[in-house]
Amino acid sequence: MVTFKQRFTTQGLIQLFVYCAFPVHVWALINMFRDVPSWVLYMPSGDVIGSVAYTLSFALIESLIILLVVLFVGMIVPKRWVLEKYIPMASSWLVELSVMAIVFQYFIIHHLPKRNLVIGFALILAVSTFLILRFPKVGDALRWIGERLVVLSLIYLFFDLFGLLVVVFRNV
Amino acid sequence: MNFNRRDFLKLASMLPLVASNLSLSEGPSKSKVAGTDSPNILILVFDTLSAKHISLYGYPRETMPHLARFAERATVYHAHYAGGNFTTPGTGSLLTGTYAWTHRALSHQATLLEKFLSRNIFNEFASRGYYTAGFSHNLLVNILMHALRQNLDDYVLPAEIALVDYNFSDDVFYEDYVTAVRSERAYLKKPGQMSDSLFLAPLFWALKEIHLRSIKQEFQRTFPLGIPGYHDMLYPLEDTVDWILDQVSVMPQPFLAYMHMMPPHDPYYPRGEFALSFYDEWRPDPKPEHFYSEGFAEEELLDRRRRYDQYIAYVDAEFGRLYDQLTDRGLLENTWLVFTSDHGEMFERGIWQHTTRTLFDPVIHVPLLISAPGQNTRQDIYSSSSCVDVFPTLLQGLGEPIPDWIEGMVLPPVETSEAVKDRNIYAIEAKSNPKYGPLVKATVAMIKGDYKLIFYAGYEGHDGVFELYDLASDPEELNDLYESRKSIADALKREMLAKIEDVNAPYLRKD
Repeated sequence: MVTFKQRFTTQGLIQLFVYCAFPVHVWALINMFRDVPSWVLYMPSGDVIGSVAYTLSFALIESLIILLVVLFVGMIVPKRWVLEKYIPMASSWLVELSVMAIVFQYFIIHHLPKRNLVIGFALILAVSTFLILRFPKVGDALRWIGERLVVLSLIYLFFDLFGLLVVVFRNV
Repeated sequence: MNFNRRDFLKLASMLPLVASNLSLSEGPSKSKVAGTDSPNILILVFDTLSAKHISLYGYPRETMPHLARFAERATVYHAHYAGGNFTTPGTGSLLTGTYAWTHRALSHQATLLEKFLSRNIFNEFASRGYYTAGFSHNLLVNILMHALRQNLDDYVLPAEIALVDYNFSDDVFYEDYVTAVRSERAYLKKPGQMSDSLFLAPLFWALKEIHLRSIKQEFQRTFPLGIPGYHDMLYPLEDTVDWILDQVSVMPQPFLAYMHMMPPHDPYYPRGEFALSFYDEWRPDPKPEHFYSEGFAEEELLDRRRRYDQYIAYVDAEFGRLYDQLTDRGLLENTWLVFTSDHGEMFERGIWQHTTRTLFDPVIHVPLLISAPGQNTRQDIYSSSSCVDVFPTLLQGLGEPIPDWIEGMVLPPVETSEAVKDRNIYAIEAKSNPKYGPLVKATVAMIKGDYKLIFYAGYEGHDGVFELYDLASDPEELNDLYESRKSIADALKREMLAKIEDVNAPYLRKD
């Protein structure tokens, strides 16, 4: 626990959570709201609320899983490096990986070859890592953006917890 | 008030008693009128099995020789129709004896109206003392059946017998399975679409692909094209047939068992011995492209048709094994055996599969064979029948009264009246129509005698289009007679529109 606290400040943790939760939720909500009109056509309203609750709960779980992975990596890299470089780097990677995940889904759906895609992803991650290491202002910008997204992410979190309650209620 | 550990244990010991009473009160009211000598009922549904591809029904390829053997001791219905062109409406009609515009399971993953939780085949037979069991590989059927589980003594989800199951809702969210499984699929596995999950979905797909590769290698010799499965599960039909045989051997009698198997639904993965069948010279007569053509080329459709036929041959082999075992065990002496399907499949007019808005015979003409207990001779029925008729026919076969909410009729030879020949039969495709609204976006087929009228309603560019076919002289539905036989077309059209107005009435505003 002490090691953990030495590595991650509260502000750093919040920034990482925001970068984990925000893209996951935005993507889930965009897709969910595309489905809601069809749900309304054939589901009773209770089931529509249930489906929204499951989506939010799954998004929360996904965000937490990603956060755990990010924190785990943060626990195995050198401590000094975490404080200085890891949080902005992880934030940037999370944004890039989010875009890549969307592209990857598109390629899977359309059965397109993925080999070149993976090479492209690796290049983008390498370039962004270089930019963060070379230009500290990039990291500052990511922190600035993260701070602006905190409130929105907390709203997501509130609705997630509400959704989780609905899911639990429906299953007891 | 002191509540010590002893009090807690006393209370806990009473919980099973309370739980058992609860389950009794929630279950169907069992009057236990059926004695142990009452016949069993075994309903076998093979998903997506078009009668147009069955040798017994005149298909040139010998796809189902074992079904033909069974036909020698069964009643074969030659003009039997599904309630719709995909699983949800078709199965809903089979289970409730009502058309889709009544039970309202119109869309993919839809459920029946609440009143059908007590108006269905399981509840009716359970209340007559039958032990009721339901099983399906098909997720859409499970969405329907899970809601009816209070009427089922034994409801088994496919995960229990699947070779591989990549779903978690059945384990984790069993009580809320219907909503959970819909959400699970939307979040992780939207077929052909982006999933709601950003990271977990691609990760799930990648891990699944790796896992599947190893499993497929293991089964390479038996299933060279792939292992039968769907909805993120793999289930060789052999395992399912063995499981059904085990189940019917140990089930309390009399039982009603509804077993709905996914094959020959796409993807078509026949067992190795069938994978080289039907590379013959036979070709179906080419048909003109329909305005709902999906753009499939003739050669591509021929190739897929061959795979489908191979898969049917595999299904037939497994059905033959099941049939032989049931015969050897003497079970058919005291069992009504029903063989049917929920809808068909299409390989013509530029259309493949059954997710079409059309209602041509390949997607709605399905097999129906019913063998009464101890029946040893074949009987052929050529008048039209519908899946809504199966339920009342079984009730009548047992000498039971038919509830007035059932829309189907009792079929010959159980019913000898001529009335069944003069009625209209309907098939409905309304997956884009609101569940709780009038039928405004739908395709409806009405079969009356030799004629079949198809009505396309509410579709952009094709709203109000009618097609008329004479199935007796033109079973391939090549000549649209809507313009040339105007008087017949108008009479049928009036009947159909009156019927639609009738079924829409409860959903129209009174003001």
